[in-house]
Amino acid sequence: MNVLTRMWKREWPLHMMLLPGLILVLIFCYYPMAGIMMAFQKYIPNKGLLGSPFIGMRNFQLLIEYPDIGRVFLNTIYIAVMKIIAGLIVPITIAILLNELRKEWVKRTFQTLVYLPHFLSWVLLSGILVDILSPSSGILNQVLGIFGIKPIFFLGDNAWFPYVMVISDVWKEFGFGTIVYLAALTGINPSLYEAAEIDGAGRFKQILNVTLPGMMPIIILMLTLNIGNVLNAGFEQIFNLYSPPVYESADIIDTFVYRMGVQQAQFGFATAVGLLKSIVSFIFISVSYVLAYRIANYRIF
Amino acid sequence: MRRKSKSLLIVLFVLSMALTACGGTKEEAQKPAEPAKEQTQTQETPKENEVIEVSTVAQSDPYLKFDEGESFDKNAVYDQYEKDIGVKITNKWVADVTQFKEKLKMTIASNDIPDLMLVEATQLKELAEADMIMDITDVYDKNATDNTKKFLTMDGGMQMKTATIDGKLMGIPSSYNPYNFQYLYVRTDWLKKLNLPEPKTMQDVMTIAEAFKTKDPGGTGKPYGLAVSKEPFKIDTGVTGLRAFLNGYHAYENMWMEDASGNLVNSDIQPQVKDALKALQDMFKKGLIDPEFAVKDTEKEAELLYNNNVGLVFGASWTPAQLVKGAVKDGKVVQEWGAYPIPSADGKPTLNQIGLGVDQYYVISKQAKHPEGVIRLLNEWIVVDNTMTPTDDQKTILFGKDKKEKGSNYWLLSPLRVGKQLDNNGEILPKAIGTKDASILQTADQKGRYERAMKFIDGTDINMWWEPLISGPNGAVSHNPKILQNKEYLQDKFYGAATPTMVDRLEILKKKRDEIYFKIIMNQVSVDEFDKFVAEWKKLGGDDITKEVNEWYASHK
Repeated sequence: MNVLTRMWKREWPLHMMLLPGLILVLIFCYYPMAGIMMAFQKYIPNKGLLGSPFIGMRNFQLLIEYPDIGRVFLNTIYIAVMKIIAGLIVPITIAILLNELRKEWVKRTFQTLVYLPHFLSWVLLSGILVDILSPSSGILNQVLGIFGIKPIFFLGDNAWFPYVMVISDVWKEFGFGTIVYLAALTGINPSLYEAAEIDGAGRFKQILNVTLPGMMPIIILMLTLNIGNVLNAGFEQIFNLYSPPVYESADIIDTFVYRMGVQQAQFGFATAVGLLKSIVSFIFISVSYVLAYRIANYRIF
Repeated sequence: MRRKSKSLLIVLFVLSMALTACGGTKEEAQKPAEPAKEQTQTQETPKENEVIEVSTVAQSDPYLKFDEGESFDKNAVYDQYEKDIGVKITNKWVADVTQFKEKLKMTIASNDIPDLMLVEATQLKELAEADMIMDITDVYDKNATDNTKKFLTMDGGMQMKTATIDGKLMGIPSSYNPYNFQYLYVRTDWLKKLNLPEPKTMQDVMTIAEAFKTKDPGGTGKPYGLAVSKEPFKIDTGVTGLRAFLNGYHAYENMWMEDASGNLVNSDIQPQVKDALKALQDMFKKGLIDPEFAVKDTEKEAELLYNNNVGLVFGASWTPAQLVKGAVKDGKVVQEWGAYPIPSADGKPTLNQIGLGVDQYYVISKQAKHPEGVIRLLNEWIVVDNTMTPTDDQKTILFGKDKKEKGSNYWLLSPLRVGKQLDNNGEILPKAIGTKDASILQTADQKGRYERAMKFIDGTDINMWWEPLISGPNGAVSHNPKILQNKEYLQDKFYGAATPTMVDRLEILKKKRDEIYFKIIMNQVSVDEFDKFVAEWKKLGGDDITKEVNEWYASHK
């Protein structure tokens, strides 16, 4: 008891300093959570959260009964999983390759250049992509034409659309990932490389046996965090690039919710889907966290 | 020791400030909405002559060009309204055309609506049900001038009736003349060059499209037959759409029409649509349609028109205002266009698909302190917009501080605009412009159009090229008298609120429809897939919706 009061006397200013942040978190992160109620309501704006009638699981039922729901979920997971995998492999490879570069300025310039697209919005990029991928005048199809390949309508063909989404997303974001992995690389003890060299390991062996294991914790951390995105296939990107002929392969949960929830003003329904997505994400993150601990013996928290 | 802990304390304090500052940006993002609210709340009941405030939301427009130093916050138009009728206009927010509708929905959802706003027909009913908007029966009756009342009931009161719910006037119809037809626009210089006849039937259209494609009169190396953009069936697509094309095959886009037995049926699943889609598929196979139309918006597709790749397009009467971007270059007319009525695929005349003449309403928030201010805005607009000889002050409202027409479209700044429910432009204008006789003009609109057309004809302003193509002797509206006389138009028979099944299923039905229409046009599936779509449409809720719509119809006959 005595110890506690002494500690309190000494540390109370520190606790007080936490207060502003705590209040903000409460107001902006926890208070809005009450809005989850909307998922079980037929939400009427003027009546608000407390006045709108409760309709139980009707919104979820509507989602399950939606005729194309299987297709929509499959598209979402297919595109999202490919994005997660490619979004892991590409930046790691680039980071390792960059790390092998001798000239510091080449490394820095390259790093900055690939980082730039991360700051562009999809609204802008979609306009550029439509031009680049155009079958009649796009540069990509003109290059393919040199090799005798017939023009491909990448954005209008169900066989191509998902891959275009994955590749363009990786192109936009891999610079950002590369920076994270490069940071992880600087943390590796240089003496390990010296030891490996003495043991007769070449460049490639060094990468395999020193660099990769050294990066493992960060890789697992990034993977675990990304697995929560398994139902986020990238609304902004797909919404700006899809069109009716590719609904079959392009319609994802978020675009569907946009058309249903915002365009038809079904806010309760949109909230229900959002809630469902959060629950699924939470489950995936929890599972991957446990797996990371069990298999790689690595704790994030 | 003491010193050390103190410095540590300072560091921590700074850190905690930094953390809260990060969170603080969210707080700031929420703020802008508030000042407007406070201002309206602090207002007390006004005495005579006191300036009252009306808040609204505005839609920015690429055609609206502000004078130096002016903006949506401060401009000559708002100032003039404040001076003339003592109403101060403020904007809660401004959004561009593409986001306005969504943003408005969010504004309604968050129950933070301005005093005055323009909403869709379905929203009018929702807002009335949710008790968010004011019953303006009395306010209108007391404050609207006789002139205003007469103006808004020119059609016998039909449009005002659609704004009345349970005997209460819930909004002011954003009225316009419902007889807005679409037309076919063709490069007439190319017709002459290739010695082709004018388009009288859909077969002629095919012949012309094919000739434009194979003979490439524009010399671009990449010609197509017909310009089509990515949302061709939407009513918002005024140029490069396909609604008019459907009409030529006696097919219509998402409207409710009577079948032989007098019941309402949806036009999207009628066999005529299949014929139209088959024709479009044939055109696509022959390379007459830009294969990338599905990803190009109107402006992008219209570049093909500006750059001489395409010489055929369907569009509303104002289409020439779009075409002028390519037709007039460096002070010279480089493209000749002609406007024709929509041809028909068989001998029967084409019926133009038209709306009710009102699909939007100005509503007043229940929280509004000064609903009478809105009615004053209405009175003023009707006077200003319809006078044949505007005063200097009235010119400011129409054209901005310079008081003369310079193409900056300042009329878009007036927060409340209603149009004439009837017009006889089609009868008067072609005659007046043809014979250069200004004496037969009857309205301010006609006078403005006549003056613009004359500027082009006597050579003072070549950029007014578009006006004669709309209003001149062979312009778009010159076809109207015949269409009106023979009743060659079709109006949607359903104007009720969305039915329960519509709310749940309209999205999937529209998705399926767009998907199959596009795939057929783009020759990805056989045209017979249309029959499968019809069966699916019925199964996925279409039949239920039809039943509900017919129940509504029976009670509104």
